[in-house]
Amino acid sequence: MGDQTWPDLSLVYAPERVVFVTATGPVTGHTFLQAAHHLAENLPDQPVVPVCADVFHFTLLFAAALIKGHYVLLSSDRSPTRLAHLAQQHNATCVTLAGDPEAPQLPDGGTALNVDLEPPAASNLKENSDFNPVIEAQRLVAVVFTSGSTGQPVGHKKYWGGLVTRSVTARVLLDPEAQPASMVGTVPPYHMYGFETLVLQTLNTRVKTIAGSGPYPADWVARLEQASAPRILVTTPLQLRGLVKSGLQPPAVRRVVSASAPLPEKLAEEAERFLKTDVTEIYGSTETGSVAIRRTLSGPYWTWYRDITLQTMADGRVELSAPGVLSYVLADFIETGTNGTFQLLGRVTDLLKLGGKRGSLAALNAVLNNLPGVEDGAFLPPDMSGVDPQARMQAFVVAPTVSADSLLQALRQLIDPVFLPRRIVQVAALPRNAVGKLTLQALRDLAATQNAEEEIGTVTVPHDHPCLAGHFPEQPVVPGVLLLDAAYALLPDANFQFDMVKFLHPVFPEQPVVFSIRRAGVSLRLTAECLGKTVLRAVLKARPVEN
Amino acid sequence: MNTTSSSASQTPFEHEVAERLVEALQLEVTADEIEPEAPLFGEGLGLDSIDALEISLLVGRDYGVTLRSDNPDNKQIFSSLRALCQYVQANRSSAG
Repeated sequence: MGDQTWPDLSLVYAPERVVFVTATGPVTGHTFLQAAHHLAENLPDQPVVPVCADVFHFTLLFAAALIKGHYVLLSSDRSPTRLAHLAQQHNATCVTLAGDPEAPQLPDGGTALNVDLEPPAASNLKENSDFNPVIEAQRLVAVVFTSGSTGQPVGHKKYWGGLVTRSVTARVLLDPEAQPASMVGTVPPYHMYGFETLVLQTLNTRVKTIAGSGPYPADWVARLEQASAPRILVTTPLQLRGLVKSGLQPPAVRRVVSASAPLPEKLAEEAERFLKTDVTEIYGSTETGSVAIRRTLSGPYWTWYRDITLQTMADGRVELSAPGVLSYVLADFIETGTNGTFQLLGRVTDLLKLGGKRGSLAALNAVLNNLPGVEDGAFLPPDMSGVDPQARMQAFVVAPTVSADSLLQALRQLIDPVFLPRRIVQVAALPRNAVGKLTLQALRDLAATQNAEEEIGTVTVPHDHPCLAGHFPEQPVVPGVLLLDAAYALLPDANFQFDMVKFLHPVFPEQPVVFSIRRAGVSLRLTAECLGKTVLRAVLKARPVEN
Repeated sequence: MNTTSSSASQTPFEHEVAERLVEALQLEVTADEIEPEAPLFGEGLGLDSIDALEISLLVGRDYGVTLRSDNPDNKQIFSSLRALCQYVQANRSSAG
């Protein structure tokens, strides 16, 4: 960080411009700074855990904390217990602003302040250099905690110089038009992705952001309508899919920015058509922030942000350094292309070894998500810690219009047989978290609840069973009703009744039939196998409760 | 769980919406187990903002009802399955 030359390190770049557009109108940088100073006077002398969902409120609190000489702690876990714990651990204080949607969730002992939006006195602007302070590049301004899918949340320290440098780099890539863009975000400001775009790019570049929050596509459309062109929509694949499917008609969006999870090409294509836009993805991590960009439909090559240096280590992993950022080993394997580009080969922890073959989970997921009819999908690799040589992949898909069998057929053409899922489970949605991420643990939990197949027993019909008399004298076939009767006797819960039954293969006397059940939402799926073939499939539903 | 009494108190429309919620949100309860008067978010079913997005897509697609977070009635709408159903029935488009 020593001899680095930094861009303008003022708290607000060019404060005479509009920085936010709120429900009551545009807010200039000067008015914003005045409000932040007012808040700073009322803040406790401690680091701040912002309890604000609205990006405008959040950014005001962030600026107030910096003016006060402190930093903010960002947690993607929003439970009051977690926020209070975070504040307590770091000798910080939870702060909300009146009128923010998160204000009711302020933990006990937190501070609630009012926003005072008055333009500053002229004397403040001219004579007071503290009004828009220049923040030292080396100053710690935020600690961002990762969601902790692997256990305890981990804090990542963010320094002002590195953040401003990346804002300025990103601005050239995301907002290259003659007119400065207006940003609308569907993502929260307390996650690294939203923090870098909606908060920092607004403070550090010419971009302005539309205030507000809200989980509904109609909220985002309303804010897009408040924004002047060119518009940038900062979102995730999950929310972009929601917007496209909502049937609402947003105004033209110059650029969609997506991050937090891989964006299926099919969805990028739909979104480009629907919003008359370019869909770009940002590559980064909480540790590094955004470091590369690509237009999803332009192919697999990403372009690094400026001033990034890379070093390949002996095991093939890559260490990345950027101005003002601690060196970090990427979680992905990459293949370097020409002109500062690269291709992702798969996550380091995604690399699979099945049946002696190596594959990338990310690549398999991309294949699955690009199949016609698949809206969302993910492979669940087997637990590698086990020694089961038969361990196979499972896949979970949101694909209401196609059958699991036809998806399997399609996958068979595209991927190595060792990676074919043993089972494809149709679900209505994948258990993605608030920022659209799908953790391995969430998938495993889903598998455990939705997909646990339980063997309930084996039945062999003897050749002299009384029901067989008179049935096909030369080669008797076990009547279906006999199989259903046997299955029914094995069910652990007599409260179910058959809703649908398919007999797929004949069963002959003396052949063992293995019955298994699987709970799927409110229904029960029953299968019977005989000598390696599925001979029966049925769906059972709970009997209506009698009163 | 008090399955018998809650099932008895769901109206047919509430049951229909409950079944769609269970399906769309992957809830680990059956439709019958959703108490019509229990809160959907927070203490009740514990739904989050991603669930809210899914609910908005569901009621938009199936009933032609658009949800927005600046609707002053939101707190009421999501206070329970019953309140959500009443809002949907009062606002559904004729096509839905």
